[in-house]
Amino acid sequence: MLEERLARAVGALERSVAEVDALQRLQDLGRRRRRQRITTTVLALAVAVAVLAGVVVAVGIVRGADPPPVVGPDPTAPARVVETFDLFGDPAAIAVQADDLWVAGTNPTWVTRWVTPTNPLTRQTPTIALPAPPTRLAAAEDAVWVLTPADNRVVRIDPATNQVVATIRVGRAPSGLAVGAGAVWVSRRSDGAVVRIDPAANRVVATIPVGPAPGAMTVAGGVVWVALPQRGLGQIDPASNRSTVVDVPGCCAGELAAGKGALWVANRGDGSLVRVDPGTGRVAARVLLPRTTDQRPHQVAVGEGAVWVTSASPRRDAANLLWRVDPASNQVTGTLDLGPTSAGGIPNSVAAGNGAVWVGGATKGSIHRLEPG
Amino acid sequence: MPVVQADVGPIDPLDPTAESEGFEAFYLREYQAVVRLAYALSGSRLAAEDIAQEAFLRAFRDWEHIRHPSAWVRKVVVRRAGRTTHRWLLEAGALARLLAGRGPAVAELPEQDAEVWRAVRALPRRQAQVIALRYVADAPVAEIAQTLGMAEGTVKAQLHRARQTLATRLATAREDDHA
Repeated sequence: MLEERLARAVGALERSVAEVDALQRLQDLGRRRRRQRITTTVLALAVAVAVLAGVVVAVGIVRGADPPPVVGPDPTAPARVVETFDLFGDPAAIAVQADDLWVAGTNPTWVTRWVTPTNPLTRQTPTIALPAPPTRLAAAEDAVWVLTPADNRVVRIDPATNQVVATIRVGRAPSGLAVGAGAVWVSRRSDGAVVRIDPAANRVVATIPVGPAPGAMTVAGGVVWVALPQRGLGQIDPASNRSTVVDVPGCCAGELAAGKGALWVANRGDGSLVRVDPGTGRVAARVLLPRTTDQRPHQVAVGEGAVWVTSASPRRDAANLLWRVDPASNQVTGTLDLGPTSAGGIPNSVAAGNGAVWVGGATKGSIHRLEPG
Repeated sequence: MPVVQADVGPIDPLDPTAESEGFEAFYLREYQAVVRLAYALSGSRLAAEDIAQEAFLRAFRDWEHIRHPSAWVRKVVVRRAGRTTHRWLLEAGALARLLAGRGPAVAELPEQDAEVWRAVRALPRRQAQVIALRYVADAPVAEIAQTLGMAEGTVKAQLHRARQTLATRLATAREDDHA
């Protein structure tokens, strides 16, 4: 009887604090710490000034105050925009492969290929038309794969000819796309599964249940990973096509990227960048991303010595941010303001490679080329 | 396009968001649990979060020297939550925030559950702490002993006495209600 009442009372306590936002409180804690330091400094200064004034009066010497310290420019700029090139539609997904930047976009629906080492960029191909609006693009050496959920297909483009060579039905509500481990992988929200496409045959060869509402995908450490917003991460062994779930508390609604020996999750849920060890599936670090308002991580890419994360905010006029995270220290080492959302967009794609960071959609119908600082 | 730095302030090496990953992960994992403990022992939803934040702030300052942070923070909380004067001060600050339109995120407990925690707080101080650590923090006897600096046998004895007292008082309260 007592145990029951205590258990119920503990349950009530848990519910009573369920709305407490730990992430917000962590930021409050940082502010509190700074306030305490400022208060301590002000008190110490006041005491020092009082003592000094006493000494001055006592000896009758008046001296000029020292000039205030000069505050220099913030040295943490992670990159600078060196070029903004306009497209005739809106970019939806970008990827760097060898010397090329591949861009898939809408209004109308297309894929273009740009040569990156030149400055300004030169477009290498005429526009490649797609049958439906693209949402994701993955580029490999011998093929570029584009997801077009409106018609439930994946489109294959041959980079040797810049032609669409296959369209493959993948089932209803496809969401994520990844290339690696000898296959192309597509997650499906409709039935919580991942389909495996054999690139030699251009057809689906396996359907693997992974869990509800699978999203973004990537391949890291020889394993296929899929974001499961309510559970964590799905892990598929490409040798056996068997899946397991890695429970990651408060994760993983957001995009994935692989690089620097890690799997990275731009976790919208708690506003952090989650680093996962692909060997063990364990969380190696959670990196808090400093915000100016209610920005949340949106897109993520690894390259040019860093992990790059773009922000999204539902608020009009919120700053679009680009965060740089140092994979060696798991610290944010710079934040760049890419302009307000009112300028026309939210960065919906990011890639890094060939000496640059590429951000699509920060302003409507254009791509930024940034030089890492 | 103008390129400016986001107004996120200078990098503060003592800012938890720039501190070691260990503290952040610990904080995010433990925060709600520590607030629950503070709420159970203080009975104040206004002060519970402040008590927890003070404990975390102290942990942050001494982070490099703390070997068992969960037990360490809980120890600070069980000590501070029982200090009436300190709690009044925190509640006064929370009330000021409330008047400024920033209410507590911690919700009121239903009466029958609040009654249980009132009965816990009415126990002798050590017994209340032992019960809270056992049930709210789900701590085993060994951890409670370490947290409170007691022998395991003493913890077991305190738990036994506390349960007996609670059972009697809650049963009596229920009979009174029925009457």
